[in-house]
Amino acid sequence: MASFEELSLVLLSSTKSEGSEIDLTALVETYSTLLFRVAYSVLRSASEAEDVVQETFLRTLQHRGTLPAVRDLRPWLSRIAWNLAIDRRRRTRPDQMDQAFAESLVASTVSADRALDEARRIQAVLGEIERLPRDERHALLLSSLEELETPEIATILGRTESAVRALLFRARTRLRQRLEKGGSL
Amino acid sequence: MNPDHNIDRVLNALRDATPPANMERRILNLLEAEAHKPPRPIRPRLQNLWIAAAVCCAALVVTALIGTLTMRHHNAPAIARTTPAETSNASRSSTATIANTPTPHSHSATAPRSTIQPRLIQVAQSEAADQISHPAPPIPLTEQERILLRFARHGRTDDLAQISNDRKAAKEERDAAEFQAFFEPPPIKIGESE
Repeated sequence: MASFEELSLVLLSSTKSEGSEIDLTALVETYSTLLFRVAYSVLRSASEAEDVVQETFLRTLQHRGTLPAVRDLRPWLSRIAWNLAIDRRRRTRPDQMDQAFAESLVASTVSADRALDEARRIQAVLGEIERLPRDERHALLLSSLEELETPEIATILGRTESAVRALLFRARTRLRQRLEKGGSL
Repeated sequence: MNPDHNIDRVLNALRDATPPANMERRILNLLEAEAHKPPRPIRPRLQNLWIAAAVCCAALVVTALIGTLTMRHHNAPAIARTTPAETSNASRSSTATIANTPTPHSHSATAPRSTIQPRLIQVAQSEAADQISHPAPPIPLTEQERILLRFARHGRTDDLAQISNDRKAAKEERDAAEFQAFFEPPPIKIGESE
């Protein structure tokens, strides 16, 4: 049986849904960075990732009536951003973004030859990540985000925690093998 | 170099990505503008419904047309196999066809053609009759060919005689003699009076 406090929380939530009085400012301040990283892990472009974050909050605003029913906002918002980012990546040219991302990772202090070589290696890693099976790739990219724990990754991907762990292990192993076989590293 | 090093380097870079400056402010401005927008009027929704209804109607019409054309297409070969006499009989007894056409309630899988409306059948028949390809009419035989054909059928030498000029002349002569013999008055015998 629910306690009095729990009942009052539920009532507060339903009042919120009727009046649509959701503190969006707090939502944006709390989750925008996480959502940006979620989108960035897929898109590797800051402007594209920002667009995804905007769209995520716009959708949240449009479906604010369903917010009180959401138990945990973090994976819920992350899942929206994740799906939007994947959808956007299908419509853009990811190769160009990966190239820009690889160049941004190379330190500016090294010589031009070395910078080119490092950028090529990073691009090779990104290329192999994209060649991974879809579920393994998604698990690997989401696991790179510090803010997301395995249960949350499982919620976003719609898998069990053990499945996510297995996917992560396989992704990492396959990626290492392919990079070693490629010999570019 | 160890591949794990590069993998970690990429994943760390993804993890440490920092959002662009003032991203939160831009998002909040956008959300504020969106929140103050008036709710969507119902009219566009109704308009969409009307458009959807029109599209559905158009689809139904197109389906009906295709169905009609398909039925005609299926009926045309069957009608083409009928002889012209049958076709004319069918057109003459169109009223009978109408009377014999079963009602939609008596529709059965064994006789689907009989359930087609008589009007459609008539139209299909007339179109099929137009579309039937007739062979070219035979060229009329010459006089000699006709005689030869007659000779081949009946074996009368008179027919063959007509081809050869000599025989023809002989035959004409013989015929004339026979004619004369037939029509000339018999010779008067002595002692007989007219």
